[in-house]
Amino acid sequence: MVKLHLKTTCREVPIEEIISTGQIQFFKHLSESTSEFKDQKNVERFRLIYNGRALNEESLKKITDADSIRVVLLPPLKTNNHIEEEQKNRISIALKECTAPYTRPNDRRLHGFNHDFALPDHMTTLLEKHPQLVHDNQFLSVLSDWSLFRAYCVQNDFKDDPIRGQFMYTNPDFLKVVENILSTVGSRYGYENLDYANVERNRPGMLAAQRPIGGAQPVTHALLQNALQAALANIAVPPANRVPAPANVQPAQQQQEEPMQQGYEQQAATLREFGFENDELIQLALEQANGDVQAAMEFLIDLQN
Amino acid sequence: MIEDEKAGLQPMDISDASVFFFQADVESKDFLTSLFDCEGKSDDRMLRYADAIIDVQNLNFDVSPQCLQSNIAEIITKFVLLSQDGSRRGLSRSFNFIDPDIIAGCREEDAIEFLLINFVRCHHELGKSGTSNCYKKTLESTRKAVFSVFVMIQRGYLESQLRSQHASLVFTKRLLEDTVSNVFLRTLVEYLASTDECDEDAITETFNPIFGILRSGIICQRFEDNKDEIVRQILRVMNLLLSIRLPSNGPRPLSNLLVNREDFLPTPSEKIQGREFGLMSFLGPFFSYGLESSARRPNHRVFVDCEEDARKYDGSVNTEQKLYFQRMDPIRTMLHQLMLPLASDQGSRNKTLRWIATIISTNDIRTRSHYDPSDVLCDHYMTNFLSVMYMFSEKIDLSKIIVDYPFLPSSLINISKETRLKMDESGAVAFASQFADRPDEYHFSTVCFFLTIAAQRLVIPPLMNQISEYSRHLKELKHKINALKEKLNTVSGFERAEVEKKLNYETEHWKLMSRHLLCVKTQAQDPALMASSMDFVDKQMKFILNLLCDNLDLLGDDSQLPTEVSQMFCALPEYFLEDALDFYIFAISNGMKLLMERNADWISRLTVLFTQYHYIKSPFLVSKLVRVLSSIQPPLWFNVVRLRMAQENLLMCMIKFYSDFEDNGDFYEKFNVRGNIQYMLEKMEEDMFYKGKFMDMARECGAEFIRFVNMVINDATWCIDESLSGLKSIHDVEKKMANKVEWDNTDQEIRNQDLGVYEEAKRKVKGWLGTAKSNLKLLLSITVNSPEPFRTPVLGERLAAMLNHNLSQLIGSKASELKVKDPRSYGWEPREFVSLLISIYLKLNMPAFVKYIAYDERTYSPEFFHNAIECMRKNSIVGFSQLESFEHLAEDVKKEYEAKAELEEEYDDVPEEFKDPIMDAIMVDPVKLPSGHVMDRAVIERHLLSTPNNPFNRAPLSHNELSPDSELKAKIQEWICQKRNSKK
Repeated sequence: MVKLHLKTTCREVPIEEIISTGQIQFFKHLSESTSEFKDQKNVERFRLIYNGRALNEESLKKITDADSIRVVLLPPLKTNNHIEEEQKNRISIALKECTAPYTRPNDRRLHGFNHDFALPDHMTTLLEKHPQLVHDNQFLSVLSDWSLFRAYCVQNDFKDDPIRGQFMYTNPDFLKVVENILSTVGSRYGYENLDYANVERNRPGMLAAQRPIGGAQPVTHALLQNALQAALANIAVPPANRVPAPANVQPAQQQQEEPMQQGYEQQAATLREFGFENDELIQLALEQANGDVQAAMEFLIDLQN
Repeated sequence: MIEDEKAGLQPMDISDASVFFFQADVESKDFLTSLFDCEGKSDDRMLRYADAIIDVQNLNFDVSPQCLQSNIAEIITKFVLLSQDGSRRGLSRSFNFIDPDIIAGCREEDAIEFLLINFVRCHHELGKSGTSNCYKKTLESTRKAVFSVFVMIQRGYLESQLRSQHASLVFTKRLLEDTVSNVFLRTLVEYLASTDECDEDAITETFNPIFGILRSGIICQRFEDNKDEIVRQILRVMNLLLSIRLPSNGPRPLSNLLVNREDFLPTPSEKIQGREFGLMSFLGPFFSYGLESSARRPNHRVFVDCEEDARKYDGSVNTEQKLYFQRMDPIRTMLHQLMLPLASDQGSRNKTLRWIATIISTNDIRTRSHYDPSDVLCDHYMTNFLSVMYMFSEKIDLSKIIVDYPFLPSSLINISKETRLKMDESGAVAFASQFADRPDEYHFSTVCFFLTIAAQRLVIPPLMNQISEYSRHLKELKHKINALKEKLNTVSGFERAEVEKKLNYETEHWKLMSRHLLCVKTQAQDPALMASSMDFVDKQMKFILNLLCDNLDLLGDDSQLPTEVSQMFCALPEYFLEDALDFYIFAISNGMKLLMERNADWISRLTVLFTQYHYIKSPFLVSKLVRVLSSIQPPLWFNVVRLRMAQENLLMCMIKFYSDFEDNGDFYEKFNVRGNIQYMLEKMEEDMFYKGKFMDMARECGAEFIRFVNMVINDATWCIDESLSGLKSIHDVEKKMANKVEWDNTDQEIRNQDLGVYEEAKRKVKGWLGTAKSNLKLLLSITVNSPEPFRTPVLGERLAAMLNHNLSQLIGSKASELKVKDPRSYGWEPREFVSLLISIYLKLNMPAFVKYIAYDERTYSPEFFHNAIECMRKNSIVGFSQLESFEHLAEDVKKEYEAKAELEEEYDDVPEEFKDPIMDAIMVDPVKLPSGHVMDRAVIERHLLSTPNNPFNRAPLSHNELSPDSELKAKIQEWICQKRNSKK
């Protein structure tokens, strides 16, 4: 009688019985008759293991009644290699929704991502939040470099590539990580108040509800150039010409923004000490940099060049 | 009862063999039982130990080894599946990519610990001598059982009970901590690679997750976080795994496994292809550790308060840079060690070389002057990459290099679109076609040598360009800052505050750019990298010279050089030579100390190459070669002038190239080249051999030498004119500004326009005045050594005219127009200039030249020279003896001038056909042009020196197309005789 080991128990079965029944039928019978495998309907995942090796029909014939064999289930990933098109589309749509605010190529606030992705503790911090990423080194490569992250996740340049970007579909945490990193870094550069709860709620219904884009408007090159021209001419931008606030911004948000503005006085004073002259530009840069003096300075210098 | 049993045994006929087997069983059971000895374990684990011992007691040992193994494996499996989560000891995060909360004390950790310990025990027992075969069988089976359970866990066969990801993490951590014995690893790989023991996928599914974790680990390390120790451990483990060979000198299974991963050699994408391939391919992140800074994202967190160091141009480095070098040295060495098994193994070599080639080809745009840094790999990555390539190339034997390789269709470097040394595009295509049917397999040395040349091209020239560009940018910023500081002293109140703000802004900007420049310099000035570069470039130059002349003997003479260069040399890509020259230019200014420690063969090779410069098609490439030679200072310079092989040709090549560069269209490069050659001539003057040779050439007055001197006169004329016209512009604007009332009342727009002219003129003078002086000094040097060339009309007349003209500018009635406020700031010293001119006059005090001075109708007159002498005497511009000599010269010129006047009086009725159509003077030696026009030989020859065409129809024209018109010459001579006779 061969010793047949299940997950926690062991039974003795004549090897001839397994051979004559056939593995597939034998596994079916097991899943029906034992509590250890009762929920496993996919018999393709079952394997008989002998000395660490999976047995096929031919090698099964060599097993003797003095041997021990074990019934195992292959990990799900090994048997489910095909990703359904519907699932891909669902993920692509969700990704598009959460990255929409970051896709305008002329938005100068994106420089901040380039800066933060290069910080020494960027990867350490990321892995502290999502330690399981260590097992998905392709996704980790993308997360380590802003150019790659932008191409793969923000702009989704490789969505039609059958080889690239498979981690989008195989990593269950993909969307969560992307949203988290975008909101964390983005909030430092003027992308705060984006309402991810709406995204979460609307996803089942597949509705692209109109959502308010909180914080500052996208800072395009044209806007910066206009501000610079006004600064050089020593003329303040008339209030009527400023970019109007979104009509549907709630009063509560406006109320919250004012204290933050006041909090930048100290940073603005620092920038003025460094010789940056135009208060409008200084305020704009500090808003984009979320109060970070160094990042704001880089912003202003980049504007000059 | 006991007595009955004993009585029962006695009558049995027990053989010796039976007793022996029984003994072995006992031994085996004792060993297996000891594996599950629960002594010292906590109480809650007693049950699984007891169960295991019971199972051991029930084992049947009289079965096949495989059968025994399967039963032992099941005992071990049952045991480890009952592993408990242990205590959370040592929660510190020793590796920033491994979460201690997950693996500290987890069940997988306990299981792997058990397996590792028992492997050691089996191995130890197997090492003993004198064991029985039966016992040995048990030990072998147990060891294999340990492996089979390990593999089952790793492959996820026990996934719902022991998680394979956690097991991989635990095992990888142990590898990094170096607590897994090499014997275990080796034996495990042996087991996995055996087709008797495992299926084909076993080794892949067991080790790929480990490779994946190691890759994740390297991705997470950032240089500024000082993670060198973690990086070194990751690299050590990679090397350890890849180096396992079966048997001890056989293939490397894990190297093969690695190169066959899908992510080892992904297809390059079309977008951001250099960076994407470099970072997404498996090996990429291992090269990405280093000091990161790019034009798009300068690193301002390092080199704080070291900004001034960016201004050093002598190659010196500061403490922080030295620290970087020390940190990167061992890491680059370990990178090379990681790559070594991949490149050594027959099975993995080809894919590894293709990976290297793809890094090079996808980052090819780094060779352009402008590219988007976010599309390609960063400087620190490419520097690491090049370091590894250099280490691979260290032991390359040049005699084994197959020269054909770059031209093959299967070559990993693509030179099909590259400009060749001396071959046009169609010639290159035809040349390459002869290699179409060559075999595809080549020795590693050959492929690696050419890949290193290609990799070098992506690193050294771009770093040099960045350094020079940012250095210039910083210089401009520094000027701004200094100007603002000066302005601060002259303003007050509100305006002062404004200037202060601007000063702070520019200072901060300068600091940021300085830090970035220091980052770039740190990449380029690493002494280990420069030393490797020197060794490799030396090899590279030797390779190139060997194509020029096989087995070139640097101590021999030039008879060994071929009269015809090989097609292979002509077909080489230009960058093979150009990058070597770029490197030497950089090394001479940044690594002279390292260069001095090496033999100077590279200088000899470059000198020989210059003596054969006609084999190089591009004049810009030759000009770069000239620049390198020009940069060589004594004592290294003696390697140039002492080189026996070059003694016949070097001086002639310098003179010839000086002239050859005239028609290459790049105006400023022309003056750079000529400045470099002049500097070489200056250095050569101290060598007696070449000084004598120069005098011989001047005395012989060959065509090339005349052409050379003519170019020098052209350059001097141009540069002096530019300088003086610039000084006049400066004078004019300063004159306007001196009239303060009128200047302040001038319209702002006109004032800005004048200031623009002012700045432009300043730049012009600063740029050209130094060159003008150099040209005058060269002319003086020629006249001092041998005035022979200036006896000839073509050169003598031009030089006389130039000297007269410039002397009149400096001393004549318009001299005051050259006065400027701060002449020294432009290097303008009029007295020095006049002194140079006078020196040249005096060295040419000979009848022929005196005549040329007198015949300069445009400038010369006796009054002019008289006034010049009076001015020099009054202002003591030149020494007394010089002045006296010049007075004598002036007397001679005056006599010649008066004689010329008398002659002109006689010849006032000269027939029109006897006159030169350009100079309108009587012809001495008439020649006929192909167009039918007749000119004086001296006039047309002077024209041809600068512009080789027909002045009447601009058709190409050379000396041998000039036909002497003997009949006309005879008529002219007859006419002159008649005139003289009639006068008598």
